[in-house]
Amino acid sequence: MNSIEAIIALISLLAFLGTLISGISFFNYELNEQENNFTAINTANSCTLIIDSMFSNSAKEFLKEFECYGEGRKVVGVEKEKRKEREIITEIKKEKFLEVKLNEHYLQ
Amino acid sequence: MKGFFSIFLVLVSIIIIFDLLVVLSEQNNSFSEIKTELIAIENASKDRSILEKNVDKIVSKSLEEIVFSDTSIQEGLNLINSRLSNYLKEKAFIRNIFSDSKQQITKNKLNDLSVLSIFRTKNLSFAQYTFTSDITKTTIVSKKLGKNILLEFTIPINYVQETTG
Repeated sequence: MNSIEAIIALISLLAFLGTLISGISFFNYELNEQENNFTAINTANSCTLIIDSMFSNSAKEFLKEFECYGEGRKVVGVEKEKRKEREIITEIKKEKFLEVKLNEHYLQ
Repeated sequence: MKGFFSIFLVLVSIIIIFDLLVVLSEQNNSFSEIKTELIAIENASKDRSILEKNVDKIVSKSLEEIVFSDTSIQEGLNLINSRLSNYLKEKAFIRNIFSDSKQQITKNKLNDLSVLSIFRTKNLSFAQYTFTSDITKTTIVSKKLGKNILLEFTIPINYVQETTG
């Protein structure tokens, strides 16, 4: 009788541990998803800020690596499988050494 | 075994909080970089505006002097371009837009790239300064401003200022 109780107790302990570990791993998975989401949103926001600023200041080129993809009047920030889009006020002409469509400047 | 689960849960919580802090600090750094870039582009834009406004002012003030005096076309052109070259010589270059070769700005080079027209009648004087560039229209006055985001100050081809007096 004692051994059955011990087995039940062990099974209960194992079930509890299993539930705890799967709960933690699910939480960890969700957390990573949200981190990727957050990073994608921030990347898209950063790219939008740079492009809008380039447009409003009539800047020619951005020489650093551009972290987003351009799709017409949208930029897409990607982090792992997460994609976040943001609208920009101009169009992207060239993605490597980013160039955007500008207003004509200074009588030109 | 006493307290094992509590310690385990506390450790897991600490790892999760640490992970979140790392992500937040990475994002914070990235925003600081963007902020620096945006300040740099605004500064470069301000520098370009100052250059443009001063070039406009030098040309328009010189044209006013020319209109209200008996200056000849060559003297007038020398006057405007010597003032422009004095102002721009350490701030910009004469640049070929195809070869990207740069030369220092001098009065004589600006004289080759610009034209002054003066018309005088009894009651009216008119002077017009035009930056015509060379015959191939490939030479401009320019200066790239900024560090990672580039802005360009240029006196564009066919830049015109005129004054009537």
